[in-house]
Amino acid sequence: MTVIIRPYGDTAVLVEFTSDDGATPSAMALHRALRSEDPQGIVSTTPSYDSILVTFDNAKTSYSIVHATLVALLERAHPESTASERLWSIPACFDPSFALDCEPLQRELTMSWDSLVETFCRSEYRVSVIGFLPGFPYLKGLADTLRCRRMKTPRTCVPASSVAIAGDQAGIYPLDSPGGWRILGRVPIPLFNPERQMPALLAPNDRVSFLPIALAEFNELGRQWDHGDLDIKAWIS
Amino acid sequence: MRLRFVTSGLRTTTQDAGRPEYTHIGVPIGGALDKAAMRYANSLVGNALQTPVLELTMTGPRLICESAGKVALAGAQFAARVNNQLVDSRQAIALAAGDELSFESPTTGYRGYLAVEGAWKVKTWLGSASALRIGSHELLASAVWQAKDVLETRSGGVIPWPAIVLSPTPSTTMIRAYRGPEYDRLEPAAIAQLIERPLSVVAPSNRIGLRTNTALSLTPSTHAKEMVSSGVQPGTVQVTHDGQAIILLADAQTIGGYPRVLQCANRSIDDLAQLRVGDQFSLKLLDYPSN
Repeated sequence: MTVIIRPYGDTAVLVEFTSDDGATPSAMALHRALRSEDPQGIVSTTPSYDSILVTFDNAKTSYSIVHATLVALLERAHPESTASERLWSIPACFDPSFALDCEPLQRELTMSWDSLVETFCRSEYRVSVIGFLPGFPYLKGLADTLRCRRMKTPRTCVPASSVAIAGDQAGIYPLDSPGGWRILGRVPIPLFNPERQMPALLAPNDRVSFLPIALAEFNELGRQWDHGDLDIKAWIS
Repeated sequence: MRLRFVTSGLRTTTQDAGRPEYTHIGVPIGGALDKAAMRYANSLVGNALQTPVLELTMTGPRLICESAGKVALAGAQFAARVNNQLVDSRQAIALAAGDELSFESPTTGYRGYLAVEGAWKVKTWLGSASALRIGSHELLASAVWQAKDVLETRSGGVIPWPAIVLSPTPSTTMIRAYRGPEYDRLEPAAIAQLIERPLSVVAPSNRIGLRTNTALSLTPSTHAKEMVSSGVQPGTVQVTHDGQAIILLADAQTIGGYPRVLQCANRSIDDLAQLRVGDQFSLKLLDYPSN
């Protein structure tokens, strides 16, 4: 693995990883190390697929100090230290009333809806990055047979909690938002809840699989969630 | 001190230093766009410098003072009136109960910052009192001020030996910037179009970003291969697929897939808050210090 550390303006450092296996674990390991060591003057850390952006307060530290800190942390932050991953089994409803792209996807992928949903739910996904919207998980692990194009003209409003695919990724919309991904179904709870202390349901490196449920069960889970009776910890193993 | 909103103004929000600790879950940094003005205004009323302020946008609110105290204004030059009499708004303004405070739209600049003496009794979310709008969602709705709302502070926010902050000297005509991570994706002709040339701010521009009247060409390899999304920050100059340079501001998303060709110098980022649609400015390229 190669690491490049360079300035990105006068109050930020960009660390880029080159490796053969999609390097998010390295970015996450460095993110966690920065969080736990909390070096003086670090303002924000933003991990992405193969990079991490670190901003700093130049009244409290400097580029050369941050650079030296990052080098020291990189030597200690092993990708294995990201092993705190959770495995989620998230119920999702693929009823045509939620699957806004039910028809076009069957045509583009030349697949029946049942086998499309079955293929989608057979894969295990991994959260590579949270971004685009607060709490939006980019999920790696989509089956090759489900690769599809984005919409030419994005929808002006994709409903919150929609499960979507585009290119070789899957995702779940945390909020009502414009978006061009293909919509397959919906999960019964919000992915982003400002009232929670940690508002994003998923975190980078979490593993996720989808458990198909019928509309009646979806409605029941939604009701339980609204009444505060749903224990989503049971979805983690 | 208590202030009641008679009118809200165009968009008057609570802002502070924002939420830099939550970029890893996709929450924008947010906070006051002109943080130098926020600190300066707070220093004038003796508040801790990161105390929330009201961010005024073009048209300020009309406020009735219900319990006495000091306020101070910084950023764009909104002329202030107390009971309809112009007052010197370069220093703290003492208000008595019953006084009405109003503002004239600034002739230059776009956003004003009103500090209010004391510790603010406002809701916070993720450690910040800042309003944040994502699409049509207000994630902290109480930070967007409406007519009839009441802003209340209690004594105790004022610190015994307040920092002295020198009045910021904004320069909105010359924005200084460093090379960004994908600077080399600009064709030489695009560099000539972008650097030290008059650029205009065009609509839609908002707290997410400033769009410019540019059509820049990027290197052929950029079009062949989509960039892998990577972190962006306020002051990042991105170039979209159709060649438009967009300067990101505090409410921008946390990662992006467009080439980050420049990064504005930290001290220039505050100045960007004062640019409005139609304003002209130019970008000056700075070299990184060699080390």
